[in-house]
Amino acid sequence: MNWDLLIIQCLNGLQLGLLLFLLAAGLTLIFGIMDFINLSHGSFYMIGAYFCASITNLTGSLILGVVISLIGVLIVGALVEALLARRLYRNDHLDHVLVTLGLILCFDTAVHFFWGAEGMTIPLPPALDGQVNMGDIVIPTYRFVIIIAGLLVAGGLYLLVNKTHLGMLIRAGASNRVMVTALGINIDRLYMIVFAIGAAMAGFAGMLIAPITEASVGMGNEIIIIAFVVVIVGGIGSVKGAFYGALLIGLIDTLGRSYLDDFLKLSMPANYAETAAPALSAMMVYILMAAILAFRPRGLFPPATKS
Amino acid sequence: MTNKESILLSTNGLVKSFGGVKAVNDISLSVADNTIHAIIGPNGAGKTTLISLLSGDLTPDKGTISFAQKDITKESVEQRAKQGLARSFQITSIILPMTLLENVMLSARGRERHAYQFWKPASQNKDIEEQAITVLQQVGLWDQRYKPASDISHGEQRQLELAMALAMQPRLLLLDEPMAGMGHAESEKITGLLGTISQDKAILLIEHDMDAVFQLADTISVLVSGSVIASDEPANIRSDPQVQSAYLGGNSC
Amino acid sequence: MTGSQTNPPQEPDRDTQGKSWGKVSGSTTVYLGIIVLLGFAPPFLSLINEPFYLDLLSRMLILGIAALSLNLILGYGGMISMGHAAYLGIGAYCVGIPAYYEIYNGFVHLALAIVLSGIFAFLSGIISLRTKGVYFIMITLAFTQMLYFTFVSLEEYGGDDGLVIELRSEFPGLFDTENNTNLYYCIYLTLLGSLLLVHRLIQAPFGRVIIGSKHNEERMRSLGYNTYRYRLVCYVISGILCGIAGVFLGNFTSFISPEMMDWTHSGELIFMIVIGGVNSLFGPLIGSMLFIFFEEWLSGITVYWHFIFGLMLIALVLFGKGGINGLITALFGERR
Repeated sequence: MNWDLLIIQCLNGLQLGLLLFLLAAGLTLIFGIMDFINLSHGSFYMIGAYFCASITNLTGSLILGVVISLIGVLIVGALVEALLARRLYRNDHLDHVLVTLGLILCFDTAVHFFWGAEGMTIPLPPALDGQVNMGDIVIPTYRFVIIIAGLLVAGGLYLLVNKTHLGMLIRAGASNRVMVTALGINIDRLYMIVFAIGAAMAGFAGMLIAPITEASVGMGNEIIIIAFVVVIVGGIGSVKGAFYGALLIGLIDTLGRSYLDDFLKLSMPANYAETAAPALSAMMVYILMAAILAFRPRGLFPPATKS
Repeated sequence: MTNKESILLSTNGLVKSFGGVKAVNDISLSVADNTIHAIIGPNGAGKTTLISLLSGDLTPDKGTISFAQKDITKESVEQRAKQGLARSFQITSIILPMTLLENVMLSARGRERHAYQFWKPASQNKDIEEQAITVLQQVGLWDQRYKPASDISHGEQRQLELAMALAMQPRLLLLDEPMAGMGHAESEKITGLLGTISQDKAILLIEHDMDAVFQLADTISVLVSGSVIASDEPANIRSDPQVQSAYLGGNSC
Repeated sequence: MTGSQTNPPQEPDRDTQGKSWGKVSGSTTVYLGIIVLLGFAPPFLSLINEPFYLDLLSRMLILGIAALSLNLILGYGGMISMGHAAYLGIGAYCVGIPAYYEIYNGFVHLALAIVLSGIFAFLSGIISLRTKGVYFIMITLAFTQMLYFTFVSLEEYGGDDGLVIELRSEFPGLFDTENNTNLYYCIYLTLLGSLLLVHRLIQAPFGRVIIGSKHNEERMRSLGYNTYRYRLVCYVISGILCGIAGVFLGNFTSFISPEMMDWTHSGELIFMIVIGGVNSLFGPLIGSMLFIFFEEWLSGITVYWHFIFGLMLIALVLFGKGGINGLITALFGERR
């Protein structure tokens, strides 16, 4: 067993898990509190990446790029909530699916129109572009940046949800919507804040990944599905569930892709293992989801609700 | 009630809590064939919870339910329904876009082994249709049978609710306030109907209409805060001082 | 013992009532007219020498079958599946993979598609139908995504790049599908069969249970129906029907790739249904025809046509309830 490789893969898994968490946290709150399915949540991921790429290239400062883009995505999120999503909370889920699908088309095309079909890269400042040597292991510095940033946001969200007045309303809203309304809270504003924060987190994830992959049209449409899986596995409305679900899925996906063929070779001839492993590792996340749902149809950490 | 062998449904120590509150607390009761057992009690006493436990919509935390000498505590709603346990809902639960006839035909067919019939239109099953029409005549909705259930009055929807339970031709009817929301004339008609039905069926009846309850019931149980505080013949219940103070005396309408 | 059996069962007005079963309404006449016209399309198009439109119509009808199959569970059953494109993919690969091994027999393709779509629907249905609402939407989507990545990882069959199908399915002794008109009629007849099937299904006791479960599951269970099993059967029927549409799609495009199963295509199928009108037999077909028409027309105008399309879809939900069926019913008469 190559322990160095295992450590590297675990870090990769952690990185993917934290990115997924940034996407899933917003999704799960929007699901849980507004009962709204936002398929276009991945568009915020894409918009965040493009904003950040443009501003960083314009100003030469990644920090400035991130800060301004975060505000930009917050505003886009708030606008989508106020102009569109708000009208649909009372409609059935089918309408949510349709409108947000239409929104994906609009966002993708708009990005195509303004930034072109080519992807955009974000240059890293030299301080982040290096590598960290840990014995035999060499890991890009930026990987640690992603992990630390992800953990910081997760910690910040934890504090926000558990220690603040806004957080109390959010928690109450996730488990009992009627009650929050009954408390006489300005529910419209709460919804808008939750939606915008969710959008900003997704946008932040896009900013984090863009220096590695580049910003591209439709980049959010694939990862958002895995984020949905995270939300389902974790339990709709549960930030804690989203966190553990994201890490679980990030690790399983990454480790599955690198170790499944070795694992399969224990029980079948090598050539079969090499054919089966890619297919199986692509399916693993979904098999995991199916297995969890088979035993816990409401996910790992369903928020306490009284029907 | 005296004949032990004719007991159709009995419960033993049923308990159901919601978040620490015992909605149903240690209830043991029985319903005999061809009788009406009425449950009365103030709002929030746990009457609907009890019905849901019996019908299988809820599972008890403790206790057992037996039906026709068989333990059904763990069986699903649909399994219980197939064995002849029919429920009506307190909040009208009908299929709004379908006509009255279609609603009742669905009920009449539910008792059959299955409805995996894919080709022949449901409306062409004369046997089921006749059964449905008989029931619609009984509850007095026959002349409206082709209207969608959404288009009839609230009182009539209550009658349809009852018709759907009846059409299953059950051995035991669990009726959750069947008369609530009906006019006086309709209530009287349904009271009469229930009297007729109980000649060959058992009925567990929750009802706020005390005239109807005392007219119909063979046994009355009084439920307060999840527990049965008295269970006896109507005459004895009426004179029971505990019941008087707990329920009947306070704010009888 | 009070008078309960009173109503004499003769008088009331059967004729005003009976129409829900017997007579053909105005809107149905319009729809049937469209179906008949579609039957005359090939000779007409060859007369005016516009073979391209036959391709367009073929695609409309194939996706019409797919949308019809989805409507069975979505419209009538209330099960919002976001993963129906999976079955289009399964059907198409049931043509492509045998063709890769030079097995061109259409009956083999169809049989494979029916069996494999059925198995996939059954297995995914067992789990997804245990869930409700948002969970169901997401889990159907996830299962399709799983299939998508599975095919991406199958390098042998082209992986991401897909497969070219050299020859169409062969039905020896019956007809030659290499001829576009024959293929069109093959699709057309399958569409007619599917329409009839769905029509009968929803009128039959089985369909009544499915519709009843959509509107009031609790009541259906208390009537003795195991709604889970009925839904599962419905889900499998729907999957198989869509798998058959997939066989045609594979034949029609002569090229298959995992992209056919992309979740946005599942969303498009839902859109077709909503354009045409949920809860209507012909709605999905009309919706798929309009959808493809607009796709074709707008994409000819600008490369940014998806933006207009997206806005149309949003507007449809916000302002156009009832879809085209609502419009036609309003214009040509009730259909209850």
